Amino acid sequence: MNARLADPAWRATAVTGALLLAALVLALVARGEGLRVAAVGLAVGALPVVALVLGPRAVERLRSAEGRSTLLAIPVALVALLLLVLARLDGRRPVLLGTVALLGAAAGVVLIGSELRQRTARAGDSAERSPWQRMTAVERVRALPWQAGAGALLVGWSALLGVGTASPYLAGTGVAWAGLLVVLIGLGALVLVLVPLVVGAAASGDRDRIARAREDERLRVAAHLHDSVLQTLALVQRQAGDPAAVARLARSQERALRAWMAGEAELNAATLAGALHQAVEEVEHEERFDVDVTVLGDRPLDEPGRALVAAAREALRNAARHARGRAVVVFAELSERGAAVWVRDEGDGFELERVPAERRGVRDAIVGRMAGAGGEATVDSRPGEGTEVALRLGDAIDGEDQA
Amino acid sequence: MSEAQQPAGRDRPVVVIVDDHHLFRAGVRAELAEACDVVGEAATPQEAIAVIGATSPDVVLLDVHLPDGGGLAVLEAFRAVVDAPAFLALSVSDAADDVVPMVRAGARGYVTKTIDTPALLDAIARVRDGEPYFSPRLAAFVLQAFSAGPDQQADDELDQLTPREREVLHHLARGYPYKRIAQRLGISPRTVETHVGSVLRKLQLSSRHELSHWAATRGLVGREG
Repeated sequence: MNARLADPAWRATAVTGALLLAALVLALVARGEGLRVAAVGLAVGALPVVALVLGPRAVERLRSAEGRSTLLAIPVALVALLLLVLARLDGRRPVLLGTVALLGAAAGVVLIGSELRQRTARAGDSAERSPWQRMTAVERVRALPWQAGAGALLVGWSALLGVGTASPYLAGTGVAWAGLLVVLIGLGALVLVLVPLVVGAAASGDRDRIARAREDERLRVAAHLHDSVLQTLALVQRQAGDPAAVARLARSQERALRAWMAGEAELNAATLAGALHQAVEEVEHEERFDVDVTVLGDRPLDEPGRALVAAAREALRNAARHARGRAVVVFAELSERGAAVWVRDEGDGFELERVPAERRGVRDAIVGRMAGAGGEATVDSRPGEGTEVALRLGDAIDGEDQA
Repeated sequence: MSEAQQPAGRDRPVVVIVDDHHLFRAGVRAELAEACDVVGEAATPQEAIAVIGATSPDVVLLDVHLPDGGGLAVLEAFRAVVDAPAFLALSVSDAADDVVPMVRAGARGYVTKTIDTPALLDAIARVRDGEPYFSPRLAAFVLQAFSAGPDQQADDELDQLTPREREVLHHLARGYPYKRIAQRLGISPRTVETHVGSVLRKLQLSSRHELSHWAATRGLVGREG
């Protein structure tokens, strides 16, 4: 209780509820114009509290997992309010009283049903609870069936009220009419109760699935962290004396974690972007240098794509050899129709014509590989200006971006 | 990047560091001590606005992820200020949807927190001189933002890049420094800067490229969330 009192939203709810209740009572009993104005004033006065304090809280809650059950409360409250307003506008006292009796009976049935369900589903965990149970929010099952008791009292009172209201009209009309009226009131109450229940049942299928999915997700995250981050941390501890190794470990772990957070890791095997990232990371490890990689778009990994990755790997190894300590940048634009990858180093560069035969061999491996896959590779290098290898597949071959 | 040594002749940039990690601020402060005057630090947008107002720095290093509204809150506060400092966004995140809103809100450049010191000094010097600083990755993201589907007609010239701007941006994404881009395209380095500046302006003024669009186009393979 104390915790509830400390919660500003709870206090605001209590105050607002009291105000609205007072307004309702005032409106129902009011005879003079002044009192009615006061009632409206009271109700309007409660509205800012709702807007300022409860509004944001309600939005927050609706966004949460619990929100769906809260959503149910809104139409129910609106229907009740609408009925009351209509009855009030109608102006005839029996109509108003009949409506109140109907709502009272419905509330009573809800309370009884809720109690019954709590007692039958006593052992169920919170994921098993229906929206109604969460709405009527009693965490523990209480020893006394106060809900059912209150519900039964409400139903009885409503029945008395209904019969009392209707009896003058039924005096001469016989049992048939009276029976019809009772049936009508019963049906109305049942509708009020059943509609949310049907909606709730529709939602409950999802709920189990969500709970299971959440647990699966947690296990998956735990397994992933174990395989990646914890392993890396262990390696870091072992190699604490070697700052370069630690930095490299941290860097590759960071990249892996980031890719995983972006949802790229699972796709690794299947897509070109994943395979490219993997290749870059492997060469970084092998050659002990850093690469700045950006890949835009993606496409499934097919045979030409594999050739492209192999060629990129070769180009990266070359870049690593040329550009010790200087920046190496990989930029890739991938789409369903084509792929283009640029591998650029800030190394010394060279004159293409003067490349010694064995180095030309490496280059031919890149160019040959791409040609074999129906693609194209170009090497652009000038002494003192670094080297850029461009690899293209599909539409990108004659693309506008050719340098 | 290779021009990092040049600003030594001019007076030292006055810098404020805004980041909610104390250790990170201390680290950057130590790195910058050689070449810059770090006159203030802040951990929240509120503190940042006060510190910037009190010290009027040349450059503010602004973390993207801050409590109470993030770096965006700081940028919003200085949006209409005439002699506002130059903002350089810093982030551990490489997500386009973190980076691009910062640039759209007025940051003149973006670097990741893993950037090395010479490159950071170069970026500071550049934004201090009123130029944009596009890391290769930012250039790539911006390129992507402006390459909406070919069937989508650009109704406003703010919504598309000229072929030249696209070419310049493409070279930046591939890691070329301005000087090399100028050589390769046969234009002056000044013109390269102008192109990058107008890309920045279009990015900040264009309204078509909703940020959700970014996330959606990041990968062709279906991705949730």
